[in-house]
Amino acid sequence: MKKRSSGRNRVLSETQTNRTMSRKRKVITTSYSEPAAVDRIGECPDSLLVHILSLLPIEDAVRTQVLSKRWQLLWTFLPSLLFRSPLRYPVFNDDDSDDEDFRVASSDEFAAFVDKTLMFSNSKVEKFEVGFEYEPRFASRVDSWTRFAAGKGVEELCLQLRPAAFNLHEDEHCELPQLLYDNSKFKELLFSCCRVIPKGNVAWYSLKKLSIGYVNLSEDVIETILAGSPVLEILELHHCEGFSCLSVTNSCVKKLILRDFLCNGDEIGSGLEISAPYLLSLEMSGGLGRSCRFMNVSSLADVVFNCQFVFAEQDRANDTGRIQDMVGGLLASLVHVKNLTLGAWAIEHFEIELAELCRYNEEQYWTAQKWTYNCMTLHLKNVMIAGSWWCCDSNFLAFIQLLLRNARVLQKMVITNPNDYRLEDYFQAAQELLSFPRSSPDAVVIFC
Amino acid sequence: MASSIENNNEKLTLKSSDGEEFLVEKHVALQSTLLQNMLDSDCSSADVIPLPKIDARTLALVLGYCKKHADASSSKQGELNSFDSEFLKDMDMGALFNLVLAANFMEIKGLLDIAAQKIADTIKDKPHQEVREIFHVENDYTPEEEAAVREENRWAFEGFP
Repeated sequence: MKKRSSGRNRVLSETQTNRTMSRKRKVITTSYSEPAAVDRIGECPDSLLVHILSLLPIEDAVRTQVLSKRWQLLWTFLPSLLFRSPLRYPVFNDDDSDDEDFRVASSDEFAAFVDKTLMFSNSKVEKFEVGFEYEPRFASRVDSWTRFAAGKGVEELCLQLRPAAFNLHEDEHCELPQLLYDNSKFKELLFSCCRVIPKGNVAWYSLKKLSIGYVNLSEDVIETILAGSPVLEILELHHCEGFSCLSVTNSCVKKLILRDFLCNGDEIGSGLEISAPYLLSLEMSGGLGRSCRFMNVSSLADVVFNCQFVFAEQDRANDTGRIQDMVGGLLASLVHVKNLTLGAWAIEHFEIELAELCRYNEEQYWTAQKWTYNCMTLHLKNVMIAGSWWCCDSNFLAFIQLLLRNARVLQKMVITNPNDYRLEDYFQAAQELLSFPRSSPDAVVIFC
Repeated sequence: MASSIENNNEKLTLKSSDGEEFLVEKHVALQSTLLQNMLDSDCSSADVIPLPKIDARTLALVLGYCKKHADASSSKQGELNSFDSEFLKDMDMGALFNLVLAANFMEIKGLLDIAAQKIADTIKDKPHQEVREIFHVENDYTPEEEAAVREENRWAFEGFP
């Protein structure tokens, strides 16, 4: 019964194939005076097939070895080995040959799959990535995988060792193998959920991009890393703790990305001081639980600030004061910034602060903060407002009014279209907004 | 002096495998590393450059891609991305392979990447027999050999017991 039905399927699919083939030939023959479409699929050189394989999930690529003898070893030449959990194994259903199901590999299977694949690897490997649910018993495996990567001259290395258990203590996170700290092949490194404790110097002389997440970093470690990365251009830190001062004095570092700087128990109330004199671009996003102050960012030209302020529960009462501190500190450090993009949450809290200011001491505040005030009036050129709540909020409109009235060289204010408000509210608010006086003759307000 | 002015409007002629000639502006041709290297190594632009492995239909597509990418300014990345995805839409496998081979031969990295990715997406999750049909691969394993390959590499097919 089963056999017969699968046989019928095959016949059917062959007929279909023939039909498509003949149709294709016909089309081409009429378009060009050529005897027949040249089928060149078979002419693909091995290098091209390997390139296509490298774009597949690695478990699919490895399994192409059953296609034919030519394909038996192609997968061993993959130049990038990206092992990303969940790894899937096909489940062969007898009753329905058309639909293949998959099951997800366990962590042990994942680790064994990585071991085996690396054992067969036949070529230079440029990119190596492991992302799976880490448990302490895999420490030696991770060690040997990174040894493999270093031995193969990998240029891009990515280790994402998410703890398998939620309560895995930080001391049980994988410690980055020491041999990784001395490697001048690396161009891009990404680590998350591991312990970064270099025992000697760091020598990442070719490193252009570094991303570290969920790591407790001491100021000393940061200094050691930066000292050993002379050509680093992009630095990303997310969910990192353990330092209250970030000093990036490398002249090559042009872009800093900070995501999710929450505070743990010890750090409540502690600020983060950032100094980066050569930095051109800064992106901050995610939750922010610490006040940040930028000390020396004179080259900074582009800032994207899309954070949500997050506080510990017991601290709730001081929210407004702290937000004012944070926003005030941030504003004060953004004197030279040409392009400032603010996310919805940030604006909302600028607005809270400004609402307070508008009510009580607007002029005094701006006069007291003369520096910031000058910054806004003399330099602010482009404002982009992304959020959907603004049109029903008179405080926020007051903020926009303040901006338009004071920013003397403003060129463009872009406001994104809210889609969860009634249109009439939107139009009413938009109309009001457009009627505000502008001190800059060139200012254009764009709704999009 | 005069030659540098000429250079700006310089065109070169490419000849497909089926004998059609395409007149191409130089800045469009430069999307291809192969052509760029030929132009750098004083290959006269008066010559017709034969591309014996690329038929006219494929070459027309390739040059369409190159023109779009050469003319678009870098600020229009979003527009280029939508052009790219539209470009390959509804393309049959034969045409897609011709394109990927042409991009590989002419060294047009962007085109190679999107066409190869499209092929990879197509074969992802397909049973092996279908992948064989797509790549026109003849299974030259005997049933015993194929079983042996699977058995030796059970870790890749079924996981570990």
